Amino acid sequence: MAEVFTRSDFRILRGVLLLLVVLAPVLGIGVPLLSWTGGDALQWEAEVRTTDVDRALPPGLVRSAEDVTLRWDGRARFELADASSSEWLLALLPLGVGSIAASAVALILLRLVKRTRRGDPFTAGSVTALRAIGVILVAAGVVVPLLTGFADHELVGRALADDQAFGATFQFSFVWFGVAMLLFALAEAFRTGERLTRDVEGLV
Amino acid sequence: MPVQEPHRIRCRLDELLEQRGMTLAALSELIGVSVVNLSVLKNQHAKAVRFSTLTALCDALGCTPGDVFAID
Repeated sequence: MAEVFTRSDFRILRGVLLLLVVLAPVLGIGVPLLSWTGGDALQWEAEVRTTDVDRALPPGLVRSAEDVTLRWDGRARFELADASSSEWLLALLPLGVGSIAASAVALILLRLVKRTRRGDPFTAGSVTALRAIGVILVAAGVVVPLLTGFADHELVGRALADDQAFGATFQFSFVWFGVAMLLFALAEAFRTGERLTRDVEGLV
Repeated sequence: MPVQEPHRIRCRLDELLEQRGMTLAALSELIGVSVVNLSVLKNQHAKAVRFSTLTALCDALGCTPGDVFAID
């Protein structure tokens, strides 16, 4: 059968994954940390909804706190000039956790690709790798929206001068859970492949 | 699933080759099975043998499957 995935394809894929391993933490943690330590204003955007009426707050009703620059275009976009350390941490956590998860997934995929390139994809290690990616996706799919929702709630509360009634929106995406389920199924297929490979070991 | 327990089958390939003055490489060339695989068989590391391999071995060595294997 003709080779579909060539050596150069593997090389490109490995390059992309390697970039993701390195860039995800740099962009997700490093750059915001530099902004924090460099004294920049904390930028945040959130979807703000009233708790009694499920619609976005009209811009005329919103007044921001003194050190806050607020823009309104359906989402609340604001800059906190004097953000405290805890506010910075709140803002950093969702993206930080997400980028660490992305980097970890890329690292595991990188090892999986190497194993496949060697012609030995059906190993116990591959099964564990696929399951680990599934677990990371499920965990990140729960933790990141929770952290984002909490940060939205706290930072929007801090940004608005009036005691506006609003609720933080937790935006869960079930796509990650679907992908995780597919990965668990794929891991099961790899487990069968690993068993079959073991069966033919020593076959002459 | 192949039987994982220890077995008592002994491959007599080295004796057959010695009797015929044939090397493993020559046999490999003759039957189209890699030297590595034949070494696995000769050194008692094989867990299973394909009928096609056994047929080729018997044809090349002029023997029967009973000559290739013995039970200890």
